[in-house]
Amino acid sequence: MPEATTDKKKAKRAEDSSTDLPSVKRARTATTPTPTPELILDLEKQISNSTEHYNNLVYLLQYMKNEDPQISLLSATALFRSFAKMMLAGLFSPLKKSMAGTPQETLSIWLKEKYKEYKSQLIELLTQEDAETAFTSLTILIRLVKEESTHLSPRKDEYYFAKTLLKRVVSALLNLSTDDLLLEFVDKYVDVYYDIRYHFLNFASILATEQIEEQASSEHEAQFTMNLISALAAITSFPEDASEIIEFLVAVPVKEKTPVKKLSSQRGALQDSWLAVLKGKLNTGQYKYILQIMHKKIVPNINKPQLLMDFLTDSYDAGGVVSLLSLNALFLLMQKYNLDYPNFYTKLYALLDRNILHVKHRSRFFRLLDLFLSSTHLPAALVASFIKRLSRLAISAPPSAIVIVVPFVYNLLKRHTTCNLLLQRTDFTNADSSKFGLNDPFNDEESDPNKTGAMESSVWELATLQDHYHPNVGTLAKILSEPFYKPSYNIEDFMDHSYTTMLDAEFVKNIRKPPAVEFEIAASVFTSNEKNQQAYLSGWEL
Amino acid sequence: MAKSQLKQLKERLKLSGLTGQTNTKKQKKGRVPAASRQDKDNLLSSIRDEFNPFEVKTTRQKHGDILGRKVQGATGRPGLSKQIGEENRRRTLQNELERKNKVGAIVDRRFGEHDPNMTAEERMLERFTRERQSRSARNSSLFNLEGDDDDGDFGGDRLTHFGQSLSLDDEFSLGDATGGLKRRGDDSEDDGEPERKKSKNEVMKEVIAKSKMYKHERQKAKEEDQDQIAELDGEMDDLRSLLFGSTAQPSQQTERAPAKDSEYDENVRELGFDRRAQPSDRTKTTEELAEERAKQLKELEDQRLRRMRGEITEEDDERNSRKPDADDLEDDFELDDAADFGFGRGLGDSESEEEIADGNEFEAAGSDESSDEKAETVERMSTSTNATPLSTRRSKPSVELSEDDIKSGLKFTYNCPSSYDELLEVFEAHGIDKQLVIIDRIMTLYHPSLAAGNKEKLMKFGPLLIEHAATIADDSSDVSEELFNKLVKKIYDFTQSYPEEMALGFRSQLQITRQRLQSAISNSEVTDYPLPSDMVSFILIGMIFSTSDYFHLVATPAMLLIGQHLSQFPVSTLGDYASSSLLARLSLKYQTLSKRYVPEAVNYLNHSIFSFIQQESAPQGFPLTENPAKIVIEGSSKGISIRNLKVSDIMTDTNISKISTPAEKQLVLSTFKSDLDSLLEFASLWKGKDAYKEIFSPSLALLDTLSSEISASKKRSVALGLIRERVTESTNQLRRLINLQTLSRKPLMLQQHKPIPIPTYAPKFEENYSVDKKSYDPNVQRQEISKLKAQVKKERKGALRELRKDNAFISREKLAAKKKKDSDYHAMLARLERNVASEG
Repeated sequence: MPEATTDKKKAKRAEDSSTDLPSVKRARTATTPTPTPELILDLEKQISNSTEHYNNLVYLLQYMKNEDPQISLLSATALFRSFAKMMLAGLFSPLKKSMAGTPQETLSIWLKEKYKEYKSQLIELLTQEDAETAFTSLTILIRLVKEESTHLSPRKDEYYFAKTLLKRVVSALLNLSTDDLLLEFVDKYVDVYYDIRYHFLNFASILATEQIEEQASSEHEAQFTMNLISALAAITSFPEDASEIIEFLVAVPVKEKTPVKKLSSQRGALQDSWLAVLKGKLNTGQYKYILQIMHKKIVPNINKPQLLMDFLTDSYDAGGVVSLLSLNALFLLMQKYNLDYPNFYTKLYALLDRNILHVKHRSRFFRLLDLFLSSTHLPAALVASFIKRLSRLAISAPPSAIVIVVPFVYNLLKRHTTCNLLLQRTDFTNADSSKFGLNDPFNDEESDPNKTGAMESSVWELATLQDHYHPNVGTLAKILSEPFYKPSYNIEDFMDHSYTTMLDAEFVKNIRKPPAVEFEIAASVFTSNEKNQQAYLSGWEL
Repeated sequence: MAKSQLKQLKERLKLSGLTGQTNTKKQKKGRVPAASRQDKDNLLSSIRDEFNPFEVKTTRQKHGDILGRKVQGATGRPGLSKQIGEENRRRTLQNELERKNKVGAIVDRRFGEHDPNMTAEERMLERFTRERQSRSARNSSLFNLEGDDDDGDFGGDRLTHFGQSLSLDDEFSLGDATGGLKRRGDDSEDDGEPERKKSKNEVMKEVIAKSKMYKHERQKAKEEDQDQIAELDGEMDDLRSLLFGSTAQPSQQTERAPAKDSEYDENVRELGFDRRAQPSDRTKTTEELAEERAKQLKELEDQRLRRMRGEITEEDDERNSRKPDADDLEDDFELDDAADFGFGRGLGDSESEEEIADGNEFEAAGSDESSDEKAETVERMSTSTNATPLSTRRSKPSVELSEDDIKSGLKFTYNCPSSYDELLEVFEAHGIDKQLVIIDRIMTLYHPSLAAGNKEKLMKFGPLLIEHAATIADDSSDVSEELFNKLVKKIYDFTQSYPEEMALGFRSQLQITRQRLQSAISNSEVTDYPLPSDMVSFILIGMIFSTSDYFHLVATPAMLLIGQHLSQFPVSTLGDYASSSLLARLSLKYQTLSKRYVPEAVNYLNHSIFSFIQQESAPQGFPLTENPAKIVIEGSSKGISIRNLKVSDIMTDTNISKISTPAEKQLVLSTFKSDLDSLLEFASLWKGKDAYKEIFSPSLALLDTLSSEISASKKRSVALGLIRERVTESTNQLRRLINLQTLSRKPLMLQQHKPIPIPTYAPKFEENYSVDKKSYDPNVQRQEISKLKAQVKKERKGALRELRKDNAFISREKLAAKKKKDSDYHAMLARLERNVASEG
């Protein structure tokens, strides 16, 4: 570095702050042609060769702002190498008291300043449109985190993690308008390095809490929440045991007692961040999405799933699709975490509303319903109510849903033989016809499944479906009037049907023998004149 | 310890009194005459046999001796039994053999004498009836013209010539040298008749034959005489010319006479061989024709019924018929339960979990993308085969009638089109009436009987007509219905001739419709669905194919597609409303005969009623979207009347919530009336369904609400004035029907089967096991049968063995006899030689 005196240096710094470039450099910049890769490499080499050329840092920093992403990336990497070498050389380590006032101190301060500027510029680059630039700068930043943690420890030889820098990175990522880079970050670093994972989750919860307190603009907040949710959902590393936590970005000494190594703190961090998300404002889509992943990604991987109980019970009570979706996680809590849910079956029964067989999530619901009703210790009246309600619904259902209901009811009947009365009422005599003939004893309005009177009823609806227009559905419904030989039907095989799949199945059928043709045809298609009564489609005209 | 052989022998001899002191005092005293020497010898030889170990053959048991069990045939004396057999045969068989061809016997051939199935009375009865019959036949059938000769033996006269029977089936006369057999009225030919009668019969026959022969000879002689006379007559002319010098023409007739005779004979013989002419079918009367038609229709209807009940299935699979056995491991994991019922594979697992819930939770909005892609490929496929992309089809120039030149526009021959473009080329700009003529001409020109390959051409031509009918429906409203009917009739004729090809044509049409329906469901912006052509293809399928079949290759997918439309297609415009109404009506038509249940149609009809109700709450029993579309009609409906709906109405794109003009009002009210009609028709169609009340009570509740709304609000009453009556009427009718149907409802008795026996897997132990016991069958009858069977088998084997031995014996005897004869002969020769030598 040419400057030797403090004065000069100070003056230069003043100039730096005002114009960003000292006059000498400006002159030189004027002379230097547009930056080329060779030039950048040259400059980098000069820096590494001697302290004289430290001013090159300034040029490189300037090149980083270049329009051309290649140039800016090259200079960023060049700078990274230079700074890394300097860190290794100890130029950034805290100076001893005796060094105060020496040129070394001045240099150190100047360098630190440049380094700070460099970091800000890198974070700036994260917001770049260009995916490569953004990603490379992210890589550099993470490596910087590593370098800083190894070399810039405040106390010598002690474990240190550069949280400040990481926090800045995380914050920048979460505030981006898209979540591509964030997901990349999660995939490449959060899922791999447990220290990054821990700190990321911590920062995420802090930032989310801040966001809530700030009352920021709703649009921005929505984006932030969206990013956060997708990042949290994208995490795939869920350590089961402390021994799995071995991969770190910054090597952790064996003796060190850092929360990063603890299973409970890792899980706690995940828990905190999710709770922070749940506390914030969620739109319907986000709400449903979280409910969908909750039983797989959240509940099994946090310390105290009980904390989710309120959220889940509220969701379950909300009714409609939200109830359906919360059922999974709620069941998990009941099963594993001893959640006592009063009137669970009543609520479950209430979920069988008019639309249940028409919604997309019906297969998900039926999987669970199968599970809930699998116990043979349930009261027969309750099971009968479910069967009767399902058959009521099936009568207005699309074929794809009937296909689920019929084997489902079969399995229920097979499990609860008492309910066979719904198919075969032996206690009926003709004298009772006044009692039975008129009305269905089943009370559709009753919300308590134990009191609906379904046991006195019959599943006429399912019997009617034996005459369904679709031959396969009709055949399937006929299993109810055949001897129950089969132990059970695999419900899973019947779940994922729709008009599309059924039509596909129809259209792939080959013609093996000529299809039957009507042996007489109506004299005319439409009725245009009154005298023609032989029309096929009366009341219509061409 | 058994004694030695020698000791045993001594003991035995002593016991029989052959050794030891023979002349003791006691014996002397008794003085029983000593057994003759022969007796002694016999006794001795028997003892010798007894003690000859080589005479006894023992079969060694594989498992040794089991608890003193006696095994039959374990020890035997083959030599002895052989000897016994030989002696028996010598006694019986040889006797027979010697007497063979030497002694006569009486064969009893009386009727039923050797029939073991007849009792004595039956035998007598049968003989009696035979006798009576033969007697009566002798008396009556001789001159009985009506009598049909079902019993050849009693048959009347036969056609004879020269004393020979001309009938081919006469087994006697053909080989008879005498040729004199004319009539065999005699009963002596009967199988069971005794020998004596038969011989008499033969005598009689001979007498007859002889007389015939004589007769024939007399005839022959007479003919010869006549010939000679004729010859003389012929020469008479010559003689006369010699005598009188005149030249008279010789008569040719007389010369030709014998030739004519032989010609006649030939003719007669031919006539004899000729088959009798059969009466031809006479023209049937109208009644008979009607009856025949009725019979045919009944047959067709029976077939249809069987198809409807699914008794004739497309694939006769026995997959479901197999009951699970004890040996099933329940590990047939590759079997899909759902696949057993013919459902497809479903979506698979991938998609089910990952669907993210968005605004509309109903399936309708979520028609999966993958299926869209699939549909696209299908579309590509179908267009490539038809070579008519959708766009070109729609842009077809409208058919115009060239009024001035009607006749000259038509050619007499046309190429048979093989693609839709070619079809359009052929049809050019002819009106549909001309097109029908052209179709007729093509059908005549390319009639399959005219040339090879014509059939294939017509097979390609047929499906094009379907497409053409759809196109006509799409782009012209000026086609008269009469002509359209004729076109439909043509398509129907084609379908009857080439059902498979036409079915494929209809299916590809359905695929196109399906693809557009799917894009319309997933994206409400799409407006190329529904088109009149879609409706027309649905209508045609309903008319042409037997939609009542349990499974039908065209009707089933069509019905599913209608179901998808009714349940998922959002009704937003008047056109959509009309199209759904039409499809609901069509689903009714499809199920008219089979009376199957269509949930989607009921749901749609409920929605249709609900859209007229202003109140937000809906009765339970049918699915409801979040914001169901409501039809708002303002103002009065004066001056509007209910009209017939048109297929082209489905193109109306006024939003159903913005109805203003009278024409729109008329359309929407007519559609609603059509829906009400459909509802009531469904209600009468599905009488007797178990869940009748559950099916229709939501509709009834909706109708109740609607009528109360109409009567409560003056404004509504005015607006819906046109259908007010109809709503009240329908409400009452439906209520009455529901009440009636509920009265007859009974609890279900679906499981009226024999109780399923619980299978037992315990091994079968026999409590009273015995080595000698052959069978442990608890069923006594079966046990008896198997016992008898075993016995029969045993006897049969024994009989075979005996027969074999008999044969061996016979051949042995014959050989011996021959040898003896030979040696006798040689001995005689030798003796003679010796005699000659000694004499010589």
